[in-house]
Amino acid sequence: MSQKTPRDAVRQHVETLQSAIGCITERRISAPRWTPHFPNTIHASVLNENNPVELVGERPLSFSGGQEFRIVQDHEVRGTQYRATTVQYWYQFAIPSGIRLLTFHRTPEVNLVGQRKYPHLHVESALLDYDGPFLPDTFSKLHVPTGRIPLESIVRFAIEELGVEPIPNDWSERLRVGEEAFERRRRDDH
Amino acid sequence: MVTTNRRTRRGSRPETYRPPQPKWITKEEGVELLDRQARKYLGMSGPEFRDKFRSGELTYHDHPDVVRVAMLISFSED
Repeated sequence: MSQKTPRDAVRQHVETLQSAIGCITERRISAPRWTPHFPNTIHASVLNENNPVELVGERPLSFSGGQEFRIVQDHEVRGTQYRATTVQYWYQFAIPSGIRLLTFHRTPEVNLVGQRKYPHLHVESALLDYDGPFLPDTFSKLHVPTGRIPLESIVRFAIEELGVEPIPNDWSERLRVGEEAFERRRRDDH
Repeated sequence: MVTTNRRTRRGSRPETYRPPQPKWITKEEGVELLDRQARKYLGMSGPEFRDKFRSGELTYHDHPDVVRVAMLISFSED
């Protein structure tokens, strides 16, 4: 949803992220309060001050994540309005001892040699069969292409596929609202 | 044996449940956060990490721990 000021757009986006992650943890998302609230400035947010959060569910699991986003003018609405668009993200599932399982990356604006700019997934070593026939020692270093994934879909994956216990009764509806908003923004961005 | 359909599983909190509010941190807290996480995951200070990351000096800049800490750089500067 568009906002009247860049500051409001920042606040609204971070609260949306908090609402999504709030379906599986009550830990807070942190964001800088001093970042200039001008259009096109980049803002960051991380869960639990960037520390893994243990999730309640069928098996031991933790989650970490963070996101950078940019405030842009929304040309789809009349008058001057602003909204957030995701620049970069990382989302990671691990077991609570720290061993990584899955890491989702999107870093299209990092201009370093060898950097993969497309959204991708790392399937970490703990999930691979070391006696398997294909790249058993190095597959975890590969960048498996994915689409651009909203946090809501990551949370839904955690609940529906990984067996994480949801917190609110209406978690699916809450996530659906966010996923649909993401789809609308994605179409606008292209 | 009781089974639960994950797709229809209901949470423990009612529809009126509100998640906690985001935490808006100061620049000083952001500097400390970057330093703490850089030391924890990469064994270097926050400023050292920021300089090496920006210059491309890190040869493993796509490593999950590097991306994790890099997300904090903007917490520590204007």
